[in-house]
Amino acid sequence: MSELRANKLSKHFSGVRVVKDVTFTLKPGEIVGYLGPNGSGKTTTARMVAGLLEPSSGTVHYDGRDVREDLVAFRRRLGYIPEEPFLYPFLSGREYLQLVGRLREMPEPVLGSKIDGFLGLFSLSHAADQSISSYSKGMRQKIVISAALMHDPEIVIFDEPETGLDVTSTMMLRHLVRLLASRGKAILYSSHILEVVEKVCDRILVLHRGDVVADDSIESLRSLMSKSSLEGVFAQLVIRDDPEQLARELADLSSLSA
Amino acid sequence: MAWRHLTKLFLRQFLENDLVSPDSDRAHLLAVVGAGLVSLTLFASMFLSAAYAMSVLTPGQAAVMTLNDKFFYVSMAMLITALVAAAQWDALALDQRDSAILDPLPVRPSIIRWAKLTAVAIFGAAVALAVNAFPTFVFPWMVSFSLRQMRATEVFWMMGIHASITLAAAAFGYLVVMAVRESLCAVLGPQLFTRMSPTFQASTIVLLGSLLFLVPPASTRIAQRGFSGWWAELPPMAFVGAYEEVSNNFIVDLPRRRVTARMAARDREGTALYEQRRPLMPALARRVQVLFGGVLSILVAASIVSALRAPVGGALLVTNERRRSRAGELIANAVIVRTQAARAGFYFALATLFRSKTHRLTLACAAALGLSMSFVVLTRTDLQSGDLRPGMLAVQPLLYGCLLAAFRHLVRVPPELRANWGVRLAWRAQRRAFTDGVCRAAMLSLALPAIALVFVPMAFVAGVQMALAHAALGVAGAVILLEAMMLGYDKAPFTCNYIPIAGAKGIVPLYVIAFLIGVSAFARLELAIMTGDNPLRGILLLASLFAILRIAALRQRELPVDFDEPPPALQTLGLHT
Repeated sequence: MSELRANKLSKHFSGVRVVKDVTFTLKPGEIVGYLGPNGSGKTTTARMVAGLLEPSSGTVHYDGRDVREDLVAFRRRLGYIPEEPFLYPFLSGREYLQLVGRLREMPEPVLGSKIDGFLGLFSLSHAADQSISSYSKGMRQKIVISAALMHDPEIVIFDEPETGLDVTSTMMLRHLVRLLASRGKAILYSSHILEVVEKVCDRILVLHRGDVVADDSIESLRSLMSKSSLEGVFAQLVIRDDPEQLARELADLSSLSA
Repeated sequence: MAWRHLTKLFLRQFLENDLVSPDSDRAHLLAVVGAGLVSLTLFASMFLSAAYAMSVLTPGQAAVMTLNDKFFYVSMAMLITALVAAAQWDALALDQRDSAILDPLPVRPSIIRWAKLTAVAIFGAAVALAVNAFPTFVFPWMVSFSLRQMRATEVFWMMGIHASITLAAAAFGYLVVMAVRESLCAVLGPQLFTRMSPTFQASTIVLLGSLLFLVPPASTRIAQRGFSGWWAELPPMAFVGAYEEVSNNFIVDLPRRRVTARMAARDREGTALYEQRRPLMPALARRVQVLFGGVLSILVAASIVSALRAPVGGALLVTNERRRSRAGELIANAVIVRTQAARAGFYFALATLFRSKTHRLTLACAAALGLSMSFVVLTRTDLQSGDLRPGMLAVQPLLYGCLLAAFRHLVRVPPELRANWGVRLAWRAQRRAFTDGVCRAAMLSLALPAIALVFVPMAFVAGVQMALAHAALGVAGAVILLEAMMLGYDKAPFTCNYIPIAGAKGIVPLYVIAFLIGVSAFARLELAIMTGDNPLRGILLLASLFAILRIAALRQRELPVDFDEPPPALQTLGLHT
């Protein structure tokens, strides 16, 4: 079966190390959670895996081949949902999906019915022909998710996909991720929301300052670190400051100005 | 305090509403635009005034000669400021974005409106000063070189008058654009105006740009023809009249020096002509007050109506619905673009060219240049004889040529670079098909409308048959030009990082010369085909040219598209990794 393997991925920006020697595998039907605080290198890793960013060192192999040897072929099998849904603001949602679908060379009738289907299921039919500039962040995120799934990819990378989504859409997304995995898709799910990761993912990778500090199933990590929840595991692995103390100091600072 | 902060915010909006690159550095942009304006006006004033520095003139001659230059400076001040205002069309009034951000803040709406007004006034004043600063010093100073009898106080006096009149002309141009915008908003209502605004903005830029390009040829023989007929009704003539009135026509009244008989005769001739025009000056000068009164009244009335028609609390939601023509799409898919990649390029290009602000404004400027060049060519062509002339045939390639040249530049400019990840992920190395789709969009939306525009007057002048032949040859010419321009282009249009042309200062003038020679040659070839004995030879020439270019394009090696290629300077310095 096709397996995605990131091998010692590293990235430096102007000499600053952002990601260091990240190694993991992603199998069909598996959902790997990718956790880490802000600036830990999650998005950089996701972009490197998607082939949007060249690693400073290391490789990504899919199906036993280095993806950079034929990025076009790899991307045919990839769906990517980025953290920031940057889209062409002057296109309508429908036009954007048409652009992506046509570039992916999806047959016109299939593309048309898929676009109508996605827009309908995401409750975007009423806004389908409005320009994206008038969309809320959640609406843009739904367009991005539609564009990523339209071509039935084998691997899907979700980079904080719940940003801007309402409660219903977040719940739907959670089920969608589970369903996609059950249909054999390999999923890398990067998120801040521990509750979602805990419910959705089979395995988690925890990243801290560019290093992988944990790579195991949630149950194993819980028992290994003697914590009852993922939040506890995460706190022990990456949180250096006491969040309660920090919150108290912030509240004090806020009342000082008043 | 809030007023000051808001004024700063609105001024910053003017700069960030930029025409060059949405991601460029603000200080860099300001430097480029400012330097462009100042160097343009410095160059123009030095160039125009060179004639004064190199000759000795009599007061009669100088009085007539300076009328031309005064018309030029007044028109340039008026049109450049108006053009800048048109380019900043959306930032001239409070918009939805301002309402969305500022309405929730504890700031009185009147303070917001005053801050906007102040920012608009400061911006207009800054542009007017930048446009007029150098001519104000250079022009009177250079005039004094040729008129030795001018005293230093008179030179300074003339500088003061020049500054006042050209600044007033600039203010008038700025106010006219504001009045037009507000009037349209008042008449159409906020909802419809928001939808139509880009079209009005582009039309205003095309009109003002065309007029700007026509200023140099129009600024000749003003004393001879500028004071009668429709010329006298032009707003710049009113300011020229005011210039002469305020300066009390002092140049023509300067004391005469001993000169040769020939120069004395020229002086008498110039003086006689000027004296004929002198009685017309007070009436022209009074018209300035009428013009200002009129434009201010319209602006105030339109602003009041707009404010009354605006939704309470600025809660206007303009959905900007993109209307789809299913029939049009079906026809285009069946006839023009038949592969999915070509369709992607075709529809994306149509959307980008007319919806991205940068692209739309560049096309508007190109259309203005093409129209004004066509006008200049036509004024030098005998249209009365009924015979076909190369000048008549040159209009069509000039128009579509300017538009396609702008298009060729624009394919390198991404409308939103940060959004190109979507294209990169979906990209299947179908560069040629995608680019073909983009080129067909350019043919359909730029070249064909230009050809259609020329068809009607051509049918009127030379008959329908000739007009049809001219249009067919125009299509052939546009296809060849597009093919030639896209040769060697190995990126994905509108999606890759913008890389400036290396050595553009040296190359662009050569392109311009080549373009003008090409247009002239093509017009002559067309004339030979349409009126010659052996039209087949010309048609064969065009067909072989197209075939050569097409083969060269097909033989071009397909390399992977580098969407994020850094500029050459960064590559050379190794700063891109």
